[in-house]
Amino acid sequence: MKKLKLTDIARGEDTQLIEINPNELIPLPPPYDRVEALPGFKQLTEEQRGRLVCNLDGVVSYAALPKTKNKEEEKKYVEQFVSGMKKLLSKENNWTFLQPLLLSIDYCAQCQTCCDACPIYLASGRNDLYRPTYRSEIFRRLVNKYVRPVGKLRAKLSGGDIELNWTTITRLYELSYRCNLCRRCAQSCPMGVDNALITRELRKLFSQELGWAPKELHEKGTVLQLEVGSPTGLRPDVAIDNLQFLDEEFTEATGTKVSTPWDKEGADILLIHSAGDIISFPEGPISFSIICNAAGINWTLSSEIPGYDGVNYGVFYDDVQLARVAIRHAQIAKKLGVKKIVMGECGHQHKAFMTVADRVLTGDLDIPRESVMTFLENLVFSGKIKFDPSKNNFPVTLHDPCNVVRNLGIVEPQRRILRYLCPQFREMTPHGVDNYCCGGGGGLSVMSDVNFTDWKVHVAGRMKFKQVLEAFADRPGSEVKKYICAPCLNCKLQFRDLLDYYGAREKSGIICGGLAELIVNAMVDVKKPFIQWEEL
Amino acid sequence: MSGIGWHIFAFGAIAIFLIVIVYRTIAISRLPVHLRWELAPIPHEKGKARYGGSYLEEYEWWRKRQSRSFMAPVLYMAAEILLLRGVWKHNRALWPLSFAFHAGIYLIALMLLFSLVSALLIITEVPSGVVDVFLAIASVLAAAGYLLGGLGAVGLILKRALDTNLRSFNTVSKYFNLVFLVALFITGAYAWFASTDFASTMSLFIKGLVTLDGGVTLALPLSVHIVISLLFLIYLPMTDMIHFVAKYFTYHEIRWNDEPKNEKMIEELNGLLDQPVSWSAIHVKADGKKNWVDLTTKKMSDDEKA
Amino acid sequence: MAQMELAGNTYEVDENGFMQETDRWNEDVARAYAALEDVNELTEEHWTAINYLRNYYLGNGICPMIRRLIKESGFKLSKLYELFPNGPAQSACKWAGVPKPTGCV
Repeated sequence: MKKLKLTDIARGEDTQLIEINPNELIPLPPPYDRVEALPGFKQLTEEQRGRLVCNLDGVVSYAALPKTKNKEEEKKYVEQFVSGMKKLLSKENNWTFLQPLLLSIDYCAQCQTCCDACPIYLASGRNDLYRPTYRSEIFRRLVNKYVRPVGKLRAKLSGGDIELNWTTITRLYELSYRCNLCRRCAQSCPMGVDNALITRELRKLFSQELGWAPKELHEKGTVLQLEVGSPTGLRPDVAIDNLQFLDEEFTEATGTKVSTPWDKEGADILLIHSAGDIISFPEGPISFSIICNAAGINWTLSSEIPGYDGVNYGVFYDDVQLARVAIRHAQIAKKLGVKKIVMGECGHQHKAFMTVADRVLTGDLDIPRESVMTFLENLVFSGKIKFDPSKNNFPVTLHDPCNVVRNLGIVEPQRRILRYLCPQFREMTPHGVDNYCCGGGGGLSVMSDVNFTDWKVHVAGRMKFKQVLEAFADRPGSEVKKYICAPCLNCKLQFRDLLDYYGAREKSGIICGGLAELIVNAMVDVKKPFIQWEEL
Repeated sequence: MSGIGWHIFAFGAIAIFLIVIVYRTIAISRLPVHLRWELAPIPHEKGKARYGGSYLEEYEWWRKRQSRSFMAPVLYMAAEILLLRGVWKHNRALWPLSFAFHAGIYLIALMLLFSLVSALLIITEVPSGVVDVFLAIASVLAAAGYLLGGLGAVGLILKRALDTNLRSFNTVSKYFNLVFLVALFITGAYAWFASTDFASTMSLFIKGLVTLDGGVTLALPLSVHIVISLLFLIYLPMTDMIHFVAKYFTYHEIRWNDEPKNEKMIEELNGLLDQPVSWSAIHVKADGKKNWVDLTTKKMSDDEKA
Repeated sequence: MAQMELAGNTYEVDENGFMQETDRWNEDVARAYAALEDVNELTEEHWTAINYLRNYYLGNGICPMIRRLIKESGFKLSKLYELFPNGPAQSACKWAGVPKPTGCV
């Protein structure tokens, strides 16, 4: 593999910086070890290369920028990048993360300890481009050069002076979306420097100053959510209609009466699912309806925009959008007069709403917010519901969503449930706060266009897929049905892509679902098996 | 250099060292309160730190008092500072060199402390038997410190230069810092070997400084070493080598800061939210006048109607 | 924006070839999409699924849940994969001229 220099980022204009060769990635266990037996890595067409900026690694998503028409426009963006760096370092415009950003910029010792913590770098076969330090050191040098006193002179004297041009900023933009923001690197840094934070600040600079953000996260993400109610495009009336349909469907399928309350003023609890769960993994939301009703909880969902979709993509790329979504969610809870808000099975919702946005939810918007893991644990051990764990007698492993576990320290509640209800529960190695990201973190799981999914299944999710296979290595055959419990919608979407791409359902009998489904499947009162191993 | 020159130089260097460090520490601590960005494991979580858990695991956590350990973070930081816990855990190959280098610095600092105590003992005319014990310890500390530090620093230079994993990230300033320290350690070691009684010379020199005795003179090797050391003392706080200060903040104020809002913080937050925003992207809708509250609490569509 | 020629006309499409101008769709567009995936004849069953998808989208602004599509069209998922080689989301929606579902779906 070619060694990459930091200064290479600015060189070569439109040429691609590196090429991903599937044979250089770390090997997977059989039967997934033969690259030629896999569906391949989709390449960009000549037409796409002509139209889109694809000068990084041959991978593009909806994030891809169209090529500019002239040098003037390019120059304008480069100037905006400089003004964006200045704003990132200003108290007015970036008080939200100024202290962590400055410390991470100023105190990296260049020891490269973090690289070995990064699943993307490791899975890539140690490709220099994917070092957690590559993008942040470039950004650090640019900040020091353009925003700090006598920066230009110091850059010249210090060596490794990085030129700021259109190529630099477009590559940095794409590169800021080759990180899961999982913060494993930050955990390993002796200085406490946080490369994931730098990545997110870089994304913020592009979004808040240049207006560059992946369509899936911005235009069809937070913007759509604030306007229509959900990045999926799910309108309030359609959300209610879908759940009514599901209530009936599952009442029939399970032989248990299922009903879901909406907009109940004065309910104790507002539960905020992700709308994507309603659409793509409806067993999840339905499980909550079954469990809450069985335990006699006074709860409700909200159909007010965007109260039925707990996602908050702002936490991936933009502080203003982050605050807008979180504030709207809190306002809805306030209006309903609930005593607490329970996060659905969505990792970044947990992090965005429970901690990151905590300090913008002042006054009466500070409504207590609880994790679904804790909420479910309380119900499972409340004695109100009868369980028969033998109904879950199949191998189960637990995926730790980074945003719930590493970022919030919510580790044990979900494990206590699984140890009780799943006789064949086994841990992955490593797990808990040392886990590997699924590869969909940092907003990547909703970015799927062009050949981005190929990158996610080959590189970003590779360590996780390897871990899953190893956790089930004692029962490898497809005749043994196995369950990855991933209590996070974004993780489930990434697992769906991984399992589809590698054909792991057929070859290894692995499926992926949430936590609540396992609870319902073990309920004595739910007579028919709830978890469906075959596709519909 | 002799007499009063040493006094000016030494006290000046110490003063610059302290002033710049205090200034930079205050500058960091005065940065505005930031959004929460904690990272497990957090050692102050009583009973949960072992596996990285936090108070957010508790059912209706806001009804309970968070039970925070005072000692656990202190012990964690002690192991981090003295034994380089993080490097040991995450980068074992780097640890021997980095540890030798840091241990060298710590031992030299300790040696200076012992020399200072010896100087004070001499001034207060404590029996020489007691002073000799301190001097003997200082002498051993000096030898060990210069040796370990020198080995560590030379090793780190070689590692930076030869290890392909590190090489492309090197800058002139990183090398310069290490070379500076190598000079400090080597001149120290040379002064130790060149002098029959390094520790008592050092103590007498310190005594001369403390008592403002104008007759301080030193042999050349020790003079060179002390000049380099004092120059380093001036240089150090201007660089990122004050990570020992920064680390307090990256750990306590960011990684381990899981503090819910309190009144003082809310007051500060209200001030921050009141600041005007000037980000340029269209969706932000900033005009340099609207503040954070205006921009984030109004519905996007309200603006368009207005 | 990418463009694509289908049944003699040029349409705006996304990077995966999904139509961005839903109202310009017609049955020939569906046939042209199908032909690109080597389905040369659209049967009654194809049209049942396509029309259901399209009408649902026009009424609700979003593609229906798979479960709903299965129930309303009467086709099992395996049957849908028989009819539409890349499945309901990647093929059927595309042929029906509705945008690719985005967000966490």
